Amino acid sequence: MIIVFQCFGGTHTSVVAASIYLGRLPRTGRPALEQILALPYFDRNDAASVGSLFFDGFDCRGNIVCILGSGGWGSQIRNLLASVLELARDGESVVVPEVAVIDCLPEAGPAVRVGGFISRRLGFTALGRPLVSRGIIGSYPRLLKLVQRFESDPAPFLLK
Amino acid sequence: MIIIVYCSRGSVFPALLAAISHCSPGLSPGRAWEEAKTWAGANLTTEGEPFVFKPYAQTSPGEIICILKVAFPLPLLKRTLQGLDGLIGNSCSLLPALCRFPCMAGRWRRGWGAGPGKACQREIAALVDRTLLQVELIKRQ
Repeated sequence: MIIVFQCFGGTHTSVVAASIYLGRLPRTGRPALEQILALPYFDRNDAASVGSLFFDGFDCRGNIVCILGSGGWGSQIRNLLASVLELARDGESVVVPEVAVIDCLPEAGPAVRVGGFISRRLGFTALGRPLVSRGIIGSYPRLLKLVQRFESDPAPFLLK
Repeated sequence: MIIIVYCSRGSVFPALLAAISHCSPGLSPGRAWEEAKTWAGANLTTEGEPFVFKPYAQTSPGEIICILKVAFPLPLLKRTLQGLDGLIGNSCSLLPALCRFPCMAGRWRRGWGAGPGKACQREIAALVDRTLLQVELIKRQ
């Protein structure tokens, strides 16, 4: 299975959710600010990389975990991926893995959105990054719940 | 298996004309336009749909041509399809062909009622030629 964590820029909520899933961030309590800032993709992808799939690691079952920024077109991108995969699966002797897409954007609070905009769009990293990382710590319980929901039942997240 | 995806933004017609040109290289522009209108009438409910993905033809066993119309920027689409291509393995290749022509700017405003202009026809022919070359390369690999 390929597991894709998706958000607006592919650099804040999706990165943190993927890190929770991969065990890089704690499941009890909130992480420290330094732990968030040390994540390799956190607040580092810019607009030019929106749409690119970034490999973030393998989970304990050997599944590929990726991060995807989709701008404001998340649902259209999911439709596109589902349509292409469905077509590819129709081909004889073609083995296409299952793909699960977890939309993290609804879990982004106002501080994450404003901080992300200041840091990534306007380029004021020194101002935006502390705001977005504090926002992420605020949204952390919701992101943890999303990851746990996916782990307990991946079916609703699979592209069909 | 190769999936060739002709993509355009805002209107299905550039992608459709490229797909027609790919499948029937000798077709005159007028006939291609008629065929595009007929195909769109038969396969699309309304031109206003923001997202359209339809298989158009199978040119050879294991080679499918698709039409894709999206509302979001084509570079974003290309990056996503290339990323997906890298993940789904060697048994299937995705080849995005983007209809991104400067000469279309006027068509966007005037609509596609009169069919593509000469500049657009040239761009479509060049896109199809480039796509065919890439298909050749993928087959050799």
